[in-house]
Amino acid sequence: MALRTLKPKKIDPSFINEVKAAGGKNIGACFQCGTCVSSCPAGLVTTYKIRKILRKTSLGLKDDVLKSEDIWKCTTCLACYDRCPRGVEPVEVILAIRNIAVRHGYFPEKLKSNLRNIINAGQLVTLTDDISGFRVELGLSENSPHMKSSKALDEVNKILEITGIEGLEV
Amino acid sequence: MVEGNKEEPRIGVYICHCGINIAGVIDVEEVAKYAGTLKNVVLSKDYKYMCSDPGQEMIIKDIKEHNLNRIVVAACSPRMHEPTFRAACEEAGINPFLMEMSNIREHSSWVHMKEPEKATEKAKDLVRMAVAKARLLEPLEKPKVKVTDKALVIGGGIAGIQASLDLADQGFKVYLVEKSPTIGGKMAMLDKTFPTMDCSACILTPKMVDVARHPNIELLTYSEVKEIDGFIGNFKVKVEKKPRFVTDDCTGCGICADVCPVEVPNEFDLGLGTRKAIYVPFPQAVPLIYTIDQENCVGCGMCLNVCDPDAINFDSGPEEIEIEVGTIIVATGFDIFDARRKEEYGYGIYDNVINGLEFERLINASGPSGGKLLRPSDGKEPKSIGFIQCVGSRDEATNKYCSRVCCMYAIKNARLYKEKHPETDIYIFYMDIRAFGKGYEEFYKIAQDEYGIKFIRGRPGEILEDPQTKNLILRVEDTLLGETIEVDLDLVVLSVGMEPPKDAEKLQKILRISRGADGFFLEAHPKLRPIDTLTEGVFLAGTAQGPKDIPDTVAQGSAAAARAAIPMSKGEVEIEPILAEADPEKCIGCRICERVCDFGAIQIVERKARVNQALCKGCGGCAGACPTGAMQIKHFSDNQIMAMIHAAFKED
Repeated sequence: MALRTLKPKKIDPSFINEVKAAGGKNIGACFQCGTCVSSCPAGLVTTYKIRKILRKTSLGLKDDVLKSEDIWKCTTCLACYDRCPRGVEPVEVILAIRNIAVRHGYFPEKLKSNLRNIINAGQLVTLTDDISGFRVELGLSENSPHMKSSKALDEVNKILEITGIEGLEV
Repeated sequence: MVEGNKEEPRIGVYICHCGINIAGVIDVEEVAKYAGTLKNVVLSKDYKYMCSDPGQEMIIKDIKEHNLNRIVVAACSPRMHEPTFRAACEEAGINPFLMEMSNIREHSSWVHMKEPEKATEKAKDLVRMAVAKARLLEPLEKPKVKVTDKALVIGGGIAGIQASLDLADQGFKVYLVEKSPTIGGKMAMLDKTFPTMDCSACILTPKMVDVARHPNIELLTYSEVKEIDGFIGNFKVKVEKKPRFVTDDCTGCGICADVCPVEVPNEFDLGLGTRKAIYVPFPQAVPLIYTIDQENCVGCGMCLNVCDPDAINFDSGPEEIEIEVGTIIVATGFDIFDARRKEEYGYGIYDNVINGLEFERLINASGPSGGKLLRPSDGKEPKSIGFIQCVGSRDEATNKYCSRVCCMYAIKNARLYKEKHPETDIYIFYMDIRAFGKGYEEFYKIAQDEYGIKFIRGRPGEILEDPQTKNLILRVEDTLLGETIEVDLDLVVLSVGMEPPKDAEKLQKILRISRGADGFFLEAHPKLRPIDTLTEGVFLAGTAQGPKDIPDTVAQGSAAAARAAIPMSKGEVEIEPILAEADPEKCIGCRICERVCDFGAIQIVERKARVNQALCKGCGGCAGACPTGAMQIKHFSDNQIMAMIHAAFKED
């Protein structure tokens, strides 16, 4: 291995190719100027630094990247995509990394529960006792009509099946 | 001169090893042995370096001893060594065009490195094809054309000035055409110059005056090249002189401008200051003749009344002049990048965001503010300034190339301001500092160490404006720190890069020269012919060819003069004889060739195509398009090419 870090970290030089194949095809062009970070609204208020993710990916610090919570903080606003002078399309890279992370089982609990809701109910916000209570107070029926729609749920399930999300362990 | 023309071909074939470039892949001995079996091949050899002295000697000796009348060299690209082997043939006493090269390096050993057997087979095929063509080669003579010893220089910036002076000093007549009312170009707009801090005008204006006084230079300002006809040695150029409405009798006293009631933005100050409708762009303009700007003049006649030498003439119109020159130097310079294209930096939206050239004008003592840099929004002195590098350079969305001067001009401007205002905070936001020239790195170090200018490595993402104070908030990641920071600034200066001038495309068509992917004019070879274009007799100088600093521009101006002087000193030039020729017996006068010719080399005279040899580039477009086979390219005739094709598919 040509490249070592002084702190023992596993380096996987093929990770960058994996990311390219998964959709982050221009990552190799990044020259670390930082335009993405200073354009990033999520980065202003969190520890998320897209530049660092790109750097670590290029170097093959696969575990670091996939386990990082930061990769889930991108809002896909596309500001970096628009301003990047090298045409790296960082949003595509982050989406590719997320897909790889999920395939490796790195999936934040919050997102998992959201996905569970979609699988079970066909939508993100499900009916809780609280909400049913509010509905009754407001003079509405206890359940909203579409929440019980099995047709809608069928259609959502079809999407989940086609996209392969159904098979994920959530 | 028909040696070998009708006699039986006696061919010598030489297979070059090119060290291991060819021999490391191809079995050269086998190829040589195979070549020896081909019809008309008298001898075939392989050798380590055919281009070396012993290699060439071998060919010369063999031609004499074995009475060879055709040579095939299977080696590298003919672009590399065709002239070498042609010269060897000539030395041995046979016509140089009886030599054919077969490129078994680029076309075989390099591209089929991993398949040596197949590469060897392909080399045999290529040699067989070359031999087939060699049998049909005809001797050719290089036509000579006379060269007029006068030059046209287009563009009166520092590159054009230097080229003109160097040619004129050698005794050649020079026509210097400049489209604006004065020469001087962009250099005249600059304040001081890096890394020596010479005042730009102080070092430039003496050269401008030299141009005006030089007996061999005819200066045509406020003029544009409209049409160029002809070829090396014999260019015919039409130049349009725009009407100045002021004659050469003008003494430059300026009383006319004092009384002129029309005030408009001065282009020379990038619109930061004003001028009158009758004006000189700046006091040291050359020639010092006023110009009435037709668009803005109201025709009140005030100037007419005060002009002592009676130099104003409202009745003049555009004038077309025709000149004949032997060579042309293109020194048309650059435009600055329009920073409005990078919306995130707010140029053209926020008052206090300016570009680097505007900064030059504002700190210049003869600039619109008398050298006082004041904020556009409120006229106050800025207490904090940020320079953003690579605006419109190194950017896939705008220009991909590095503009080569922005690092240094930003550092220079930062130092100039800091020198007078040491209390000002100055930041330079950069991706890389490219201080590559002589004395540049030292200049950069002093800026950092002695002047305390803060260099932050990060390309800013965006600038926000405080709507009340008009102060700017710049967001950047300090990539070395790994932190996003916000910097409050009174003024932001965008280090805009260089672009080809907007009218480059128009001029390209007039000159029939090429432009690169970056839009700048293209040199004939990036390393070995950086001044020449692919059009004989047309040369490049300065930023017309690509971004450059002043030292490089001046060097290239001198280089262009030296290159242009070669054919003019000789008085005549040889041109390649690989040209089109029409057989009048077969030509039906259909004019298809005339239409496909990009070089205007074909004329139909009495219903027969006629090729102007000096204009023809031998591209072969006409020969391919000719429906009757009347049009042929010498050295690449239909029968020669067909023989190669037949040989490609059939063993001898």
